[in-house]
Amino acid sequence: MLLELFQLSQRCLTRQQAFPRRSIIHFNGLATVAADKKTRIVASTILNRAPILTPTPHPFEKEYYAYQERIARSISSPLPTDVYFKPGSLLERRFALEERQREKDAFGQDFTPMIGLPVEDVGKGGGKSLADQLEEEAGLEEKPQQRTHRADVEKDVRSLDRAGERNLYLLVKKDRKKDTWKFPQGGVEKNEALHKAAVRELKEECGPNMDVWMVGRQPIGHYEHPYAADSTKSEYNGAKVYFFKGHILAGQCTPDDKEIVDFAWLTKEEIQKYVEPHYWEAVKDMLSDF
Amino acid sequence: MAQAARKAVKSASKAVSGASGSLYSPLTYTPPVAIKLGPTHASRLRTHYENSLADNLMYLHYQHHDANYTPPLPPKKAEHDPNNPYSIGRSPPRPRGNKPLRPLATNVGGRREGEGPSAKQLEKSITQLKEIQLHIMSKDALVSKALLLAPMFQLRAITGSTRHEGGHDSSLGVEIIRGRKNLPQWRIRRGVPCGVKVTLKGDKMYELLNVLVEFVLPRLREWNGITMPAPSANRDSPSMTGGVVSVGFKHEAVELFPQIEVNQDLYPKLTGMHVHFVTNERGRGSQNKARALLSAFQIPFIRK
Repeated sequence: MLLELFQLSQRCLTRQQAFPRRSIIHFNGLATVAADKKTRIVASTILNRAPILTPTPHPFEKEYYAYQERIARSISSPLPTDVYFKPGSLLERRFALEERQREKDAFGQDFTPMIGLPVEDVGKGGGKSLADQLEEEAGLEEKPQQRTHRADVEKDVRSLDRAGERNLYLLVKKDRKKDTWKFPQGGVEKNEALHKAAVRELKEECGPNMDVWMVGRQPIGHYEHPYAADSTKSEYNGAKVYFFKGHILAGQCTPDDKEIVDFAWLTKEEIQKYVEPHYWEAVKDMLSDF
Repeated sequence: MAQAARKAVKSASKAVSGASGSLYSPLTYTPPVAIKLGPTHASRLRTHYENSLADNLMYLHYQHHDANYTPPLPPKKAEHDPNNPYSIGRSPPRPRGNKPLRPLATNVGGRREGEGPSAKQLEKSITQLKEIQLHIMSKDALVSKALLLAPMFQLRAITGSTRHEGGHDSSLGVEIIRGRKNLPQWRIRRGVPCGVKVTLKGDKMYELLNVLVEFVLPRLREWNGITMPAPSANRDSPSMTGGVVSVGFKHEAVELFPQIEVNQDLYPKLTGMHVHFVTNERGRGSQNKARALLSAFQIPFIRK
């Protein structure tokens, strides 16, 4: 058996390699080849601000969750209060009172079973009843923050705090007549890797005040377009744009006001209004719907 | 489901006809419906995964080669020549092959245009968390079965998981683990209870992950993260190809779970536990992909 295996392995060793070795694709090489063909290689960064809030549920969803919560409440066994609270303690009475309120909220006044409240100790809590104390405490509680930020009300598209439930993408404006709004982008230099060019261009156009994490080194999309006859870049007949995804972790875009004159953090639908139709067709599938 | 419904109808007909002779009591009466509890809220971490992580993981793990691509083979070793002066007096090299099988790698992408998996299958192949398993092995239980109650209670408190909870037959609650083999040196005998485990899936799994990441791990002293295997570790070992990331926590960590912390006096003897994060990844490189997913949920990893 072992001998057979050995012979088999020897035969395998002498066999020609079934698959030819494949050379690694060098983007640098691609750049030089393309330069001969007069096509400009461009690296672009789609910089994303991930949602910072959970989505607001649809009214139907909300109703469904409330219904399921009522079912969960009705089929769950009650808390063994004597295990968790010292009998007759303030905590026990507080829990019973709160639990009664929760039952009332879930099933209404008529269906609320009478939960017997433990006897109240007179003299504790400064002569106030427990219900009064709880009411007082409720006033002191810190309220949750609003789901809409000031930036939403003021329609400040430069703020990173706007549209907390959505994915935002950074769009920059260049001072020219056509194709003004685009993702930060720039040409790849000689012997430069594509993913490094994308980061370098982002830094050049949007300033060093951003903490950015790039999602891998592979482009997530590709867009090829010819230049117009009256283009300033007359040595090229068109461009190939490779898009890379990044996440902003901290900081803010600080353009130099020379090459880039404005920037905006936009959701997917808003981007459609800013950019040219041909650019939109190329990038729309790379953007998240949420 | 059908079985549960039949059971419900049977009990309902009993209740109506009163054949069993029992009187109606609001305390014991069960409505003649097979209740299946749905989600009571939108899971925060699940939303985070679906809206942000899944996209990134697809881009990170996307196989850019086509389906026929095979990675280049390592350089061939020189063939054994018995007449070579070096070989004289030395035993011949071990024959190649005869290695244990490893599962094929699950890849995102790697297909030719016009064929291969659909968009739905592609979505399924993105790295995702399947389940989390909590597991406690108790040596004391080998001596006395009753000592298994404390770990059972501990897992019940942490997960809130019960058998058939919310009408779901798939939920097994806290299960007892029994010995598979007779191992006299460890006093384990076949069929003897030696531990407990609980398997969490879906929203419950994300809930536990959330508690672990928000309350337990940041307060742990002298714990910097899950230690990664050394770079020289065998890439084809079962633990590296199974797509499971495992970590053990001592009882100091268990004490930090809010469910336990709120009433620590109730648990005189807390035991440490193993946590297994099970992903859909298989094959070579699956350990790295699983770690990429978990670190996106803010679980730290450190080098050995």
